[in-house]
Amino acid sequence: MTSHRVSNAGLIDRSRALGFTFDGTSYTGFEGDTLASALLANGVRVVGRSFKYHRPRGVWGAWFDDPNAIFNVTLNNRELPNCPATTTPLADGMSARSVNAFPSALFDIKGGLDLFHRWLSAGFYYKTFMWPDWHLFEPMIRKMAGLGTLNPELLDNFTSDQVHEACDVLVIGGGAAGLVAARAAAESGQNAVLVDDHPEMGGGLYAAGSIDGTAPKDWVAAQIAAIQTAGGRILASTTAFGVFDHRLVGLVQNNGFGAAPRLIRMRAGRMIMATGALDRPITFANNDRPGVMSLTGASEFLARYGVLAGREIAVLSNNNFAEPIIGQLEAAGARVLVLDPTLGEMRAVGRKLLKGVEVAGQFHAVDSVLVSGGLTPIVHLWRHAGGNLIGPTPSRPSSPVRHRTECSQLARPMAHLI
Amino acid sequence: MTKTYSAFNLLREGLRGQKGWGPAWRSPKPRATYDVIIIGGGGHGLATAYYLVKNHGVTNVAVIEKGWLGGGNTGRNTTVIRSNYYYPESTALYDLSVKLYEGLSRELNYNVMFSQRGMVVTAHSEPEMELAARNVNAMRLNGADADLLDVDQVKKLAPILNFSPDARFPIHGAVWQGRAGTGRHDAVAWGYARAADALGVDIIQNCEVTDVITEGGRCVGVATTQGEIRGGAVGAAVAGHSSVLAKLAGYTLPITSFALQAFVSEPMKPVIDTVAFCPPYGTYFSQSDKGGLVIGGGLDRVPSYGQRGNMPIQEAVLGGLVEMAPALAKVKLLRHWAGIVDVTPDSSPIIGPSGVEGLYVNCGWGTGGFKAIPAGGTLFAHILATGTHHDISRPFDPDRFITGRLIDEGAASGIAH
Ligand SMILES: Cc1cc2nc3c(=O)[nH]c(=O)nc-3n(C[C@H](O)[C@H](O)[C@H](O)COP(=O)(O)OP(=O)(O)OC[C@H]3O[C@@H](n4cnc5c(N)ncnc54)[C@H](O)[C@@H]3O)c2cc1C
Repeated sequence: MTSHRVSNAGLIDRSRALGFTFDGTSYTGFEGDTLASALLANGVRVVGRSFKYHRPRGVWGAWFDDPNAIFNVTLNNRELPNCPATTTPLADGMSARSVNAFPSALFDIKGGLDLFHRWLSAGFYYKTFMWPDWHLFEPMIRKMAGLGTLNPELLDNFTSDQVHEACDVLVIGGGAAGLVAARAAAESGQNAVLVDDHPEMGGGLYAAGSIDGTAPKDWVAAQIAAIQTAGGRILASTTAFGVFDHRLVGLVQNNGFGAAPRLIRMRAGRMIMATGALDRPITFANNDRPGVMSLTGASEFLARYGVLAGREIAVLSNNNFAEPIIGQLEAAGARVLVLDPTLGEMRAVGRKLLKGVEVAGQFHAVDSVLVSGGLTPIVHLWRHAGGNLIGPTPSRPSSPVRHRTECSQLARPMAHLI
Repeated sequence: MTKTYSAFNLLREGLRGQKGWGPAWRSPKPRATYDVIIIGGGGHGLATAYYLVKNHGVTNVAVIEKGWLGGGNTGRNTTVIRSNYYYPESTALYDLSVKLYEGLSRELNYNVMFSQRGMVVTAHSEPEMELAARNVNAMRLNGADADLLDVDQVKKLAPILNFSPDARFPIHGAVWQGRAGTGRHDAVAWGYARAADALGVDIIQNCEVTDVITEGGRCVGVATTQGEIRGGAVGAAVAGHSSVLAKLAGYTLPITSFALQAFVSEPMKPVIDTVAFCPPYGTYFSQSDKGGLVIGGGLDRVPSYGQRGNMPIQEAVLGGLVEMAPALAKVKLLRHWAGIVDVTPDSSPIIGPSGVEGLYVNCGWGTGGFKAIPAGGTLFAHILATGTHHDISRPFDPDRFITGRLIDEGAASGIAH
């Protein structure tokens, strides 16, 4: 298998190699990798199977937007079900097993179910299994459903503290917008807290190449130093999962693999949501094949982990956000073919191994297809807090409008929308 | 157009790209008048419409829904179906419902996936075992199935529960109802909607009732966001918003509205094959056919219409869950939500006249009206068609709050209200 690791790019520490296994095969990654980035670096494309038809699936996104790479992971005899590979930091000695596939994601005995897809359309189960009675069919269906397996063994000391906290300003999201907001709040004398679910601050900045003429890594470090000097606090690996009455924000802080996460009940005077945006897929036949990946996902894999999605890449994008990313992919050594998704019908060709993409009847041989349908702002917390949205219009996704409580949503990613 | 759902038609449609199916129900414009108007397109409203046609031949019926079908509590509940209540009046009602559920998929030609995997309600001390025995006896006397299990039998049914001697509340045994189980909640709403539509009922979505029209003290119709609609009889089945509607019409109900929260976990291979409820933790869970754990618990402490839920109850319910089945501590949640439920002083529903002539109510189901949808629809249709109670709904008339003949299931069977 060819290595997809690019020399000298990324935040990983190449002096610290980490060994791990996936579906029984051994691989090596580096400190700073996620399970997904390490697998991609090793050229592993098929990471799972779809829920119903058991179609081969590859990595789609680089963070929590990836629905495909879900593993049962064991480390030091602790096994956890359904770990998303894109958000699980790699550790030495990890062993990962694909879920919903047997014996492996690559060779799944239920893969043949896909042949019957024309009869297993959405909601087919409401239309049948009534005679003689649902109970005859249900046990088999229950066994086929479900993803990971829960190991019933109890974990010792799988508990963690729960703390009550308060702050004047809570900034959710540690990208460029969040860092600047947290710094401004802290420097104006407010008790500011910045949270981000990644282990490191910076959000989508690493893919940006440079900011204010500085390398992202240095710029982020300077902001962190300024925030901390001004008395602000930074919580990494921390997800805000809900905004409840009276500005109580639920935070869950990851304590490392196999340890129970910590619950923080943060009472925030004001909240600033700088939660960024996600790439939208473009729909076409077989767009779930391994090798079809979100464009911003591929850009994150390159910037953070030094992993190049493919060597021969087709980019299908409907927005100008793609341009700098194409430049980065080329600089890293890929050949990029830019295809216009409005030309006509599209279809990915290949099954486990992508052979190419067909656009308006013309076949292009590539090993990866990167797609970007434009960015959708991440507004889940905003909506949970009762915030409203305007739109969407054909050219803009829905975007947040003024909030009735003490929340504001920063709209930096919106600048890049089509 | 292919109408009937069957394995044969699925096979045929598969061969021609599923192009022959028509819509499962129409989206008609409201007419000016109907014989019966039902406010609320949840399970109870849709079932009522179906039984109005089927049992009483009343075909000129409209169901008016402010959002989408099942978008209220019918699509938000934890789908438990059971009849393990205490009083004969309750068993008559809920067991009628379980019986109707048993034949529902075939009757509606829509698989509602009623899955009778049973339910265990655990007992955690010898006095609780005495109470459990009393409940089992009452259920049997009232004609419902029930068994008293010892701890080994519980272990066999649900080995994932906490049988450790160090458990906060060690399990001594349980009440078991084998005919209980879960159903696919959206399918219940959709199945009734499709069947009612096929019988000629107009289902009107995105149409909010904004006022109740009365003439000479009698309700003659409703004002809606799609105009005025007149009706011979009007039935309200609006669950958590019954008091809101009552205010529009000028009657009062002995109801308090609370948020009730629920959770769904990531999908897993089977870990439990029944519904388990441990009363001291206030938590219950089952596993859906898709593999997610469906987890529920008690009401929020303060009345509210806020459907986003709150952290203290989340922690109580989830803390209870991991005490109840410690291995589940490793499982991640996918979703969490709340629905607004209307709770009555005796934890039993209200079916009957509203106090405004011509307007009837089906409400107060609190945390447990999903299981009652087929019975609630049958009984409410009876009242709307005939103006008189069915024998089974008579005890649930709102006049019980004047006569004092309460059916206090909160106290009797200790249901989680
Ligand atoms: C979290 C949770 C868990 C539950 N678990 C269970 C369980 O396990 N088992 C069980 O048996 N029950 C359970 N329940 C209770 C059950 O969901 C309800 O009792 C049942 O669904 C009520 O059905 P319904 O048709 O009366 O109400 P709904 O389904 O709420 O329908 C009422 C409809 O009325 C509409 N409406 C309201 N006002 C207007 C208006 N002005 N104009 C037009 N339309 C209007 C609403 O939009 C809504 O669709 C649970 C409830 C919740 C919230």
